[in-house]
Amino acid sequence: MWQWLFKLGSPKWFYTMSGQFMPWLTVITVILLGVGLVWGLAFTPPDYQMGENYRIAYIHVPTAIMCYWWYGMMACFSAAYLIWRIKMADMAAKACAPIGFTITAVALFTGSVWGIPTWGTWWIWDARLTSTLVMLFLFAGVMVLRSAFDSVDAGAKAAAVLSLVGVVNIPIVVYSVEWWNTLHQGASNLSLSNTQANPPEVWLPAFFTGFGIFGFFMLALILRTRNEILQRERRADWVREIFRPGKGEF
Amino acid sequence: MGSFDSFSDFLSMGGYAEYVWSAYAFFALVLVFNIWQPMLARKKYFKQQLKREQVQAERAQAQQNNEEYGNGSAT
Repeated sequence: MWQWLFKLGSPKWFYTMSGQFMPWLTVITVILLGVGLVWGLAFTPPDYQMGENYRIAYIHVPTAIMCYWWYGMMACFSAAYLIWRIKMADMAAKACAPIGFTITAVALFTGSVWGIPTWGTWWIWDARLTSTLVMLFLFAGVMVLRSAFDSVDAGAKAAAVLSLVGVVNIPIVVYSVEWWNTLHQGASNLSLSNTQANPPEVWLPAFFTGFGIFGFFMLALILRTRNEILQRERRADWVREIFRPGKGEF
Repeated sequence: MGSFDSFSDFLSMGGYAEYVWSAYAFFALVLVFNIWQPMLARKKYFKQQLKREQVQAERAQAQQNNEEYGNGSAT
C-alpha cells in the first residue's frame, strides 16, 4: 500500500501507467455515458409534475454532487503537497482547478435552466445556489492565484493554502438544504434513500450518467496532469527521450 | 422511441425543448472543451519540444563539422 503510494508520487511512473490505463477508462466512460444519456433522455417515462424537463436532472445531480467532491480531492492533493512536498500532488492539484470550475459551471447552468419553468426564476440567492457559486469562484480564485506568481513554488504554495481554506465551503454546500429552508429542495428525486418513491428506471440512468461523468472528468484530469509532467520534467532524461528527433509520437 | 411517440416528439421534449436541450448542449460543450483543450496543449508542446531538440541536434552536428574542418586545414 505504502509502496504504491510512493510510486504514485513518481512522475515517470504515473506517466507510464496512466498512458496504459487511459484507453480502458475511455471505453468504460463512453459506455456508461452512452447508456445513461440515451436511457435518461429517451426511455425513462416523464415525471408526472415536471414533465420532460426533469431529464436535466440526469446531468445536474451528478455534476452538482461531483463539484464538491472534486473540490475535496483538490484540497487533498494540496494538503499532500504542503505536508510532504510531493511534486506530483501539486501537478494534480493544478490540473483539478480548471476541471472543477467547469463541473461547477455545468451544475449551476443546468440548475438555472431547470429552474426557469419549475421555480419561475433562473436565479435566487438561496443558500445552496449561493454556496455553489462561491465554490465556482474558489476554483477560479485558486487558478488565478497560482498564475499571479512568477515563481512556480510560491504559486503552488499559495494555491494550496487557498484550496485548503476553501474546504469550509464544502459542508455549507452539502448541508445548506437542511440548515436553511430556502428554495432548493433536498435530495429526493434520485436519492438512494428514497428508492421506494421512484421506480428503478428513473434513478438507474442517473447512476450510469453519474459514473460516466466521473470517468470523463478523471480522464480530463489525467490528460492535464500528463501535460504538466511533461512541462515540469522536461529536463529529465526519460522526458527528453520522448522528444528525441525521429521518435516523436503523440 | 422509448417514452416518445416519434423523433420530432423527442426533440420537442413535451414543450421543454429549449430548457432540456440548452442544458445538454452546455454539458456537451464542457465535455468537448475538457478533452480538446489539454489535447491541443499537448500537441503544441510536442511540436515545440521536437523543434527544440532538432535545433540542438543540428547545432551539435554543425559544431562537430566545424571542428573537423578546422583540424583538417591546420595540417
